[in-house]
Amino acid sequence: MNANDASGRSGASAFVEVTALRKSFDGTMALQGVSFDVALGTTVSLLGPSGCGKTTMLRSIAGLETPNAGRIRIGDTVVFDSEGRVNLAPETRQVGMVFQSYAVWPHMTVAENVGFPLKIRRVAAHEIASRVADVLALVGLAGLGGRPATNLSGGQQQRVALARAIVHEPRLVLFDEPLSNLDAKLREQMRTELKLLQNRLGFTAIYVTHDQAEALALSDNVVVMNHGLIEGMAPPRELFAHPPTPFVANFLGFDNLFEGKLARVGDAGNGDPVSGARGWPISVALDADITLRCFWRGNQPPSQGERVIVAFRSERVVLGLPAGQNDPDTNCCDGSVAACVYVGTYQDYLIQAGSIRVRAVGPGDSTFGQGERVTVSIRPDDCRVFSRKKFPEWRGFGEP
Amino acid sequence: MFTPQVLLPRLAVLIGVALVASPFVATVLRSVLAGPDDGLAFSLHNFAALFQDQQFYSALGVTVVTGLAATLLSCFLGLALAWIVARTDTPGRSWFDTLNLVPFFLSPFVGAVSWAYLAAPHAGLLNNIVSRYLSGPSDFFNIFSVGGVIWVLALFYTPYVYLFVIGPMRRMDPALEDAARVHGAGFLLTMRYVTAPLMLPALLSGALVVFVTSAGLFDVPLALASPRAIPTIPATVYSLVQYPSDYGRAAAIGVLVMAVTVLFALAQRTHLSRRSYATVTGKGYRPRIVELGKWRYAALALELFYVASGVVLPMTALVFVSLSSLWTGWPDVAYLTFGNFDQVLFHNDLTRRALKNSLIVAVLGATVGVLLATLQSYYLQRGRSRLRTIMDSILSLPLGIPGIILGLGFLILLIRTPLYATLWIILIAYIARFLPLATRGISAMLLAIGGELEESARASGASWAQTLRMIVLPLIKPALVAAWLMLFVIFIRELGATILLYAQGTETLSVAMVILGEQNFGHVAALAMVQTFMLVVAFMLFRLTRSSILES
Repeated sequence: MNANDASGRSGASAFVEVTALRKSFDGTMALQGVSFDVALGTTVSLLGPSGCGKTTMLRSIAGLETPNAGRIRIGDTVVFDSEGRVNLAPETRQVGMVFQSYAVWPHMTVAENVGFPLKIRRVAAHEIASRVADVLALVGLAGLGGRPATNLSGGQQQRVALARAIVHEPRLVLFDEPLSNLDAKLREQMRTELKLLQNRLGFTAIYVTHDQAEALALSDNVVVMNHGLIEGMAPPRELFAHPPTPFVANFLGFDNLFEGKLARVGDAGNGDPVSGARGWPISVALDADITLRCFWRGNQPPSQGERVIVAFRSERVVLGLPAGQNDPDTNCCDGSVAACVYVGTYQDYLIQAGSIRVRAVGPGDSTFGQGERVTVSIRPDDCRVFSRKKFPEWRGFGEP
Repeated sequence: MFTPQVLLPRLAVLIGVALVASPFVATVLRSVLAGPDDGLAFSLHNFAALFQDQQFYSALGVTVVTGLAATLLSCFLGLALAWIVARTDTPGRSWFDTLNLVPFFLSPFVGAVSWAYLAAPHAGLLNNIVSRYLSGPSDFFNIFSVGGVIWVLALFYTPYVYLFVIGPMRRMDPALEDAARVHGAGFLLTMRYVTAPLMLPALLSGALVVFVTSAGLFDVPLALASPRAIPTIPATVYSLVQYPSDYGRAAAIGVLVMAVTVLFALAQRTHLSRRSYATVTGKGYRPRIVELGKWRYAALALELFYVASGVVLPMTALVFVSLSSLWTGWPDVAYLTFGNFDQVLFHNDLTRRALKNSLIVAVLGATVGVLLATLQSYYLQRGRSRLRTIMDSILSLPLGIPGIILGLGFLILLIRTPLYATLWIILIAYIARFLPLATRGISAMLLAIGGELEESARASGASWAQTLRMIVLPLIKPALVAAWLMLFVIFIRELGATILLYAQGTETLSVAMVILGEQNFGHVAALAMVQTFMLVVAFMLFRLTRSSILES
């Protein structure tokens, strides 16, 4: 895994700048030198599995953890610098934060919770009252200010936490998996509301989540983290279509990953490697009988005979009846249905094709039965190829 | 309907209610009876006489002042020590977590006696150190004073507050404090607006328990106030029952104390139901550790000061005195002897009898107590009766009643029965007074287990008895062992409930110490060492079961 490829630098005018941040807990490295930027008025998501260091990263920005090394700047203020021995206390960093557990204070009313940042800043009582009322209306809790905070549902407490994080108009709002405690339906609703609020108020935000949909929906840039390192950083559409590493591909839903050998570079009928607009046309042998045609993006592809990793999404696999279809624009091979799982709107299939097992998705009314012969097709454009040499540690070929 | 699963728990609750109600009723009735010569006439004479008695008001004053001051001091110490152990990087804090609880298991009476060896004017070890090495007066400390009573009470009740607050302190979601920091509050403002208010309900509960129990404790005033004729309510009750006795007036005091207890219990119930903050969200939190920097040493010093005052110094004094044939306020090898132990263990009839009596009462009482408590808990947690909440309140009442007042109730109730002057009357009073402690512990465990495990056993074809034996009892075993050890410890050391009920032949360890106290320091100290040894063994077993609860 080589993460230094993908440091998230977006430009000199960044509002938040995190440089080479390191943090270890009792000898375990939580952050192994992480750098990224957040431009003013944008949202960056830190996305990754649990234990990848994303929450440690966020808490370090808030000042709730002290990193071992590195530098954090927010606006004009360097809030942490291990070399300059700068480490500002959390209360002086002028941020707002929404916690995973909401952290709504149970001994205060809704209005007292939301007004707390203003009270601490010695804002006059009547102004606190009017600003709290405004922000409660904004998050859809108008009129609930007098309620004890514990009298609210999970979704409402989440709104209180959000209101508290923005009431003092902080320059940066930090979100630590704010929606993960909500049930699925409410989570989708809150995701949309959060997006609207963000568009309206235009705050700069860093958003930590393990849910790819949240990250893609809410951010201008997504930083994917793993084992305390940045695996990739890109705008959502770019990242989703062209993940930079096998890990990112797998995390973002490329659920078919196979190791193979580069059989040919360039067109089959023509020995010259030609770089087309879609990249270098290549062929990858997955086993003795199955060869995939796909494209290599980027610079010079690996040479013939080298090991590569091919990834594609199960949604992009098309299943058909075995007929002599031979579309030159797509890869086809024969297989048999090893398992099929009906989940209503669609069906999950596992297809045994030669020595490999391909995950595929069919419509809910598809009728392939267990053991039935099928044709598996995947378009070359839907395949991503990574050099095995560059990712020697990648082990994520889970047997389905 | 009338199956054992319904009847047995109900019977246990009925016994519990009878154990609370009968001394109550007996005390009330006795307080409104005219003098013994006037027959069974109703009269408020006892109350009238009590309210005209100046001595009563000064005793009340001393008891309220010592109770309040001891409560304040133990709240401060308990809160500070709990915070140091749970939330700071003070060195050795896992050791202190155990050490802070040691006084909880020691006898307050022995503690008071040991502190008398340490700080009696002119004769105490500490006073001798002050006069020999610091050229101060040899009555620098005077433990035989209101201040002395407050000091020893505070030392022994600090662990109560500690136990009440350390749980919430550990389980509090650290994000509650983080949120305050991030949104602009510094360390002190976060303490003021978030941490302290969240700890307040637990602290108030602890304070209430400490006030009610310390004000009603007989042991410490007996050892430290009575020698200087400083009146206290428990000592007043004691002397009213001695010859020439005035049971009527003692009962009047008993009624007043019981009324206060009931009021406190009601206040606590409404208070707690109004303000219980769900700081626990069912997740295991890693408490945020505060780095104290140089202040670590101040925290360490406070911890060492407490452990020294509550455990090390009194135990040291006790060892010195118990090994001396003559105690002059200074250890002297010339007087070194094991004779005191030889006497109390092998020769003195009183101490040998007391040892036997205490062991019988403690083992039998703890066993019967755990049995009753298990059945009561089953009723409270699994029963279908609508009376459960009321029963819970009634059964918890004795927790707030001083042992000597409950003892008085049973004395009035049973003095004309064959039970009087037997070990049984002591056993009954002990169980009545301390059963709620066991019931609470076992109830909590039953609640934590939940009913589904039993229901699935029943659904698998097991009878109620089989379910109890194969599912419930194995699961709550740690709570049963802990409750048994807790009752054992209390019964070995209890004095207040015993002092009015013992007779020639039924003396317990603590009573024997009181009787010997006038005659022989060395024997008292040796007996106290023997008692302390039993308590320490029980404490170590208790820690073992607690850690096994945590592991499972």
